[in-house]
Amino acid sequence: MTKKIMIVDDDPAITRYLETLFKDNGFDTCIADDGKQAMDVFLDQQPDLITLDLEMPEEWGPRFFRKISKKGYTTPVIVISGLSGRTHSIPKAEAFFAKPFKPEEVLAKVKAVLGV
Amino acid sequence: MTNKLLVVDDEEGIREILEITLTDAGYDVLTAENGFAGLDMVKTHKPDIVLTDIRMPGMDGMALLKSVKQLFPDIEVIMITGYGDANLAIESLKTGAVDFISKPVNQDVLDIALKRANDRILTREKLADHTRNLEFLVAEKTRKLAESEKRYIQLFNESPAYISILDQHFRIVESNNRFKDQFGDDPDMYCFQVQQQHTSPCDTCPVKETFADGRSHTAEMDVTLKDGHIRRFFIQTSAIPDDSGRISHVMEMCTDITVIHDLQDHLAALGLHISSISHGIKGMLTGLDGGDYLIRSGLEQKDFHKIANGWDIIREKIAMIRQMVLDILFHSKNRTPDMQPVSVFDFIQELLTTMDPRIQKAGIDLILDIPSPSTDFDVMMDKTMLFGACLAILENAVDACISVKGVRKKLEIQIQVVETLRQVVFKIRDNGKGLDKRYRQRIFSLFYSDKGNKGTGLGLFVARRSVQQHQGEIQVDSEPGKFTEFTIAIPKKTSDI
Repeated sequence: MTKKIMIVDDDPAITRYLETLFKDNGFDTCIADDGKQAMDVFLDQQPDLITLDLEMPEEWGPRFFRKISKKGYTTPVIVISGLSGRTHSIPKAEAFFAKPFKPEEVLAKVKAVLGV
Repeated sequence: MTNKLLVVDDEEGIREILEITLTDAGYDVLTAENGFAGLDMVKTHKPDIVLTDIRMPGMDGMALLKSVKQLFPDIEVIMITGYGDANLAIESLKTGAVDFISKPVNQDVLDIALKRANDRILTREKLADHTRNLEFLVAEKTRKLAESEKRYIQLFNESPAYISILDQHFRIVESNNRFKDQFGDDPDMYCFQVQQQHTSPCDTCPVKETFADGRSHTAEMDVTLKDGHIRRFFIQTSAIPDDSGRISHVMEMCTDITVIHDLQDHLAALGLHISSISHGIKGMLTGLDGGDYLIRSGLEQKDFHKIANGWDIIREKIAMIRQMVLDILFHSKNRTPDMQPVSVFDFIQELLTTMDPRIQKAGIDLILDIPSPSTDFDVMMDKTMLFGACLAILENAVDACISVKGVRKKLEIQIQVVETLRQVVFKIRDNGKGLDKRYRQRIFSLFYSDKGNKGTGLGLFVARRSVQQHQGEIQVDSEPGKFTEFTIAIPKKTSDI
């Protein structure tokens, strides 16, 4: 079964980038523009993995993560952010990538986490 | 050594013997045969010692003694007494004679009397000397004291700091010239009144701390000068104890550190700005990576939609980089304005087109008092610069209105353009939250924002710079909770730029 990755980022250039990258490599994707919208998308799509930006206009990434954790979800999260040195904000994240990231590294991590 | 001596005796023999003896002893001897002649000699020659017979016809010795002592109290008088004159002799001592010797004159007794007279003269001279010295000393010390007092007052007054002496109630009991110049010198002023415009003492106050523990304390505060300017002061205090050791007053010394403080602010803001720029650049680079990836992926898959998508991202990011570079250049150096004639009507319409969606969404009424197409006129301006300035002010006006939404029934922004003889005046007034005095002072500072994370602190700084580069003026008037009004006035003729 095709694994689904949810991309959360407020910059449409980045979501399109990651969307293409993941789709080219055989994953399904869904997109949320910010942390607030992310919850609806998450509940609706039930993704297997989330790539999460930290700084977003309405609600920032760690808050969204805390919300799904509280609901009991253990969906793996990979942080992709321009803020470096903020690894403590989501201690349970599978990995942190600072922008600009290397696509092959992100892809390798996604595959490893999803066991593909 | 005393050397002038007058012998007064009616007996010539005695006069001669005494003259010879005393001349031998080193005296410059004068003689007189009776009291009257003696008194004349005294007046003329002012001898140091008078040796006079007590009994003489006419003016006797006693009368001479009285006259001499009255006229010249420092002249010593020795009386020569005869047998049975004991009472007179004692009387003469009471009247001021230094001694008396009896006839016939015994040389030793005379020597003793003369010595006594000389000692007395010497003692008096010494005493006079001491008195003179003492007077001189006192005068000198008094002069030095007055000089030093004057000097200390001058040092206190001309000190390049603001110095005031406060009592336990924070009343200013003394202050130096610089303090008076900037805060006034009305009697019964309280420091919190004149420096902070408060009606009660400040919560944190180094003076209060010094009164409590007697130690020196420091603080940094914004203070308001007499002319309304707000300056940043570094305050140091020290205790002034009275004679019993109790702290009766505290001295407050303030240094104006506004320039340093502004520099610190700017440096801190510069750091923040650099970090925000680098954060922005990271995002743009990632976007460019994304565009690059989409194009390559599209080329591989011959998917033109993907290629177009990737190209869009690249174009968007290039535009962002260009804007960012322009922004940075804009406030890193002075750009020469590109002056062109611009229609005021078009200018305002374009401004409104840009801002209208936000104004509508916030439910703000727009009140316009601007030229119509028929009364329109051109102004020489760098449109991009001035547009940015007006946009920044309008954005602030909208934000100010939004912040009181719910509190205020009717939200309004008024835009007015007035043409005067030499200037075109743009007024943008909102009935939003308003600005208090402190914010008004700093509102045009670089990186100063009262909007927390939402503000960059760039908008009004750049706006002022743009207006200044048009040789214009930008001003803000406001009342907290009521309104804020920005006025931009630019000269109509700007050919000399």
